[in-house]
Amino acid sequence: MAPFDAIVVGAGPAGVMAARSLAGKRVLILDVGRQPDSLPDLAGDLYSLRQSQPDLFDLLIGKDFDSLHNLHNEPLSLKLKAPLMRYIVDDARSLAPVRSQNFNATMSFAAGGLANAWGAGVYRFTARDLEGFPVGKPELEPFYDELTEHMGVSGANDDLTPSFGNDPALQPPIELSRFASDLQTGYQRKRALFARLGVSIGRTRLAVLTRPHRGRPPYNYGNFEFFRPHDPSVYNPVYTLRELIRAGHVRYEPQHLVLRFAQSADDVTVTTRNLQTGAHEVFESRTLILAAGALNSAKLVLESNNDHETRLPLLDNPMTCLPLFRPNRIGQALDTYDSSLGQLILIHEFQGTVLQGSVYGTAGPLRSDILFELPFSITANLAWLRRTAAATGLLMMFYPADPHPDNYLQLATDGALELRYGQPVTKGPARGVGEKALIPALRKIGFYTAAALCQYPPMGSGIHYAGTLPMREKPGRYELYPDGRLHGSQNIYVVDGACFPRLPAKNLTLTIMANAMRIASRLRHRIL
Amino acid sequence: MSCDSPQPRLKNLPPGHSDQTALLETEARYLHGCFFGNSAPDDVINRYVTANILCCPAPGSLTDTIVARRLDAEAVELFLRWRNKDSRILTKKIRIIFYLVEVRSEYYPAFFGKAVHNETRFRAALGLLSALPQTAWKYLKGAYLVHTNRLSENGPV
Repeated sequence: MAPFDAIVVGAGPAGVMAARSLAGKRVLILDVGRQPDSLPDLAGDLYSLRQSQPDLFDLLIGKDFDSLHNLHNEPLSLKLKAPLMRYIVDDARSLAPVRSQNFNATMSFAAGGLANAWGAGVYRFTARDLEGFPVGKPELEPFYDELTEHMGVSGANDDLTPSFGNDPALQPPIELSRFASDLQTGYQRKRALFARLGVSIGRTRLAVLTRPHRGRPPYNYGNFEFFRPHDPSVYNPVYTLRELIRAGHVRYEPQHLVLRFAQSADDVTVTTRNLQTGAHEVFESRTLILAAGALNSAKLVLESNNDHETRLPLLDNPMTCLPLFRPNRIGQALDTYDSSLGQLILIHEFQGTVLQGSVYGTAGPLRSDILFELPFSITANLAWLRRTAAATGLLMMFYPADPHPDNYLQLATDGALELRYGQPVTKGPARGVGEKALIPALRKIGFYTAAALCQYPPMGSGIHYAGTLPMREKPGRYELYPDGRLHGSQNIYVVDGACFPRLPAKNLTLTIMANAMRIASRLRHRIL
Repeated sequence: MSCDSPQPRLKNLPPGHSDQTALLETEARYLHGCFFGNSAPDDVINRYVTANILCCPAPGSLTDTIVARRLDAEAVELFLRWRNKDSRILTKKIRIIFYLVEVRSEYYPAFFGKAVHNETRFRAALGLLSALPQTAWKYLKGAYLVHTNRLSENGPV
């Protein structure tokens, strides 16, 4: 068989968008491609279901007690442990063993990758965010526009427009919970106060539909995000993958774990392990595009170079979690029409650094997941949760991340990835400092919290892995040219978060996709 | 959604697990009664047994003592939880009960209140503030029970 024009490794956001941009070429996507079991057809919202159905054990806990995972295993994100969500990370550690110090790594071998459980936040990088990148905003802008149209993005051009860009194609934003609505109203009343602090608050931009778009329905506020994947109103790269397969634009081969590649002057050979047969298989292509995620793309490069010595940089956004309390809402019934998606965004320009926070409600996870986070007796905790259901939210802040020699990834001789993370490194303020500065202003609009309540999730919890094979104007070994090509290679490209030389405090998925499209679009014209 | 859930199944249950079943069933009934008063549904009891084999494979002699001596599990748990912030067997067992009942509609009011019920802010605030003396009482009671029964995480000393 003639070699393919391009092999894409991975079918997450980067891989799928790269493949889409290569339409017209002979493209093979190699993927492990885990899929969910058959999904129940759930009408209405989760809370109505919880009242009307006598027993939701199968959906919420699972026959294998999946939701109890964190009681006897290393903790998983609450969004990844429900029975129907487990396919997203199941087998990841056996397919890609990891040994880590101070870094909670989450990986996915599902079709669609970790976007099967993402919060769908999509934020354009500004010129300031792209400082240190060998790519400018004008180069990414057309692809941001294309993605907005392709996925459908809801939000608003508001006080956050300077941070996210003006986007005339936005659908109306999702409806706010009462809690979030109070916060927005309070901010608008005290806008000048917040401006003096360098704070702007506005609507989230989400790859979530509020109007029908390209055959997908609008969001129905069902609150199933923690328990059921593939809500058609929430964009998932799997939808694009299916379109590409149906249109015959790609050949998709799931059940293949890519082990290594080897390049010659004219082509690349890729060796996989067929997970059904156990056999090794070899595929040939003129070009190889790595989109296996920052950790696994780096692993493939090191493995293919038989390199167990080199340490590659590792980045993730440090994050904090600050509960917010709105006394005016105590005693009110849970806002069951609430969405567990991000409600509002807070941009905080602080000590020369831009921090980004998202405000969430607490309607998403099981109550038993958070019952023991409170310090009282169990009965009192339960009563607190009941009475404060409509009065509590969470502010999750991201900090920027820059490379540091203490934060790295290395390939061990037994094939495991070793991840080491020292101190979370940011050129700006340390975690918690920005939040402290916010507390007085929040109090003035009726939202209360305390610095002592700020939680610091372990590094890796942000799941914004990046920087392992960074783009540079003048790359060295294991770095990329601005066109995504791996230094020292003729025909190997990297399009996922590995590319990013640093991380601003902003969800990066939209820029990963736009950059993948940029790289693949240029490549398409070079493949004759 | 189906109301009739088949018996929970697990891969690779350890040998001898059936020996623990009777103990765990008694434990489930007792712990459920400590928090919810009424008798536990059979499904909850059965699932508790299986979940414990999965999550708490070492037999809990502390819990056995609490059940045998009819002690206030909530008070003991609070005292031990405050004393040592690491996840503990008794806390884990109680959490299992809460996970298993939360998914049942009859327990919805316990977790979420009545569907459209709004308490007045004053009443709700009183309820929140009462958590402090209630917790203080439970802590002191827990300290007393742990001391007089010479309890530790591993059972009676």
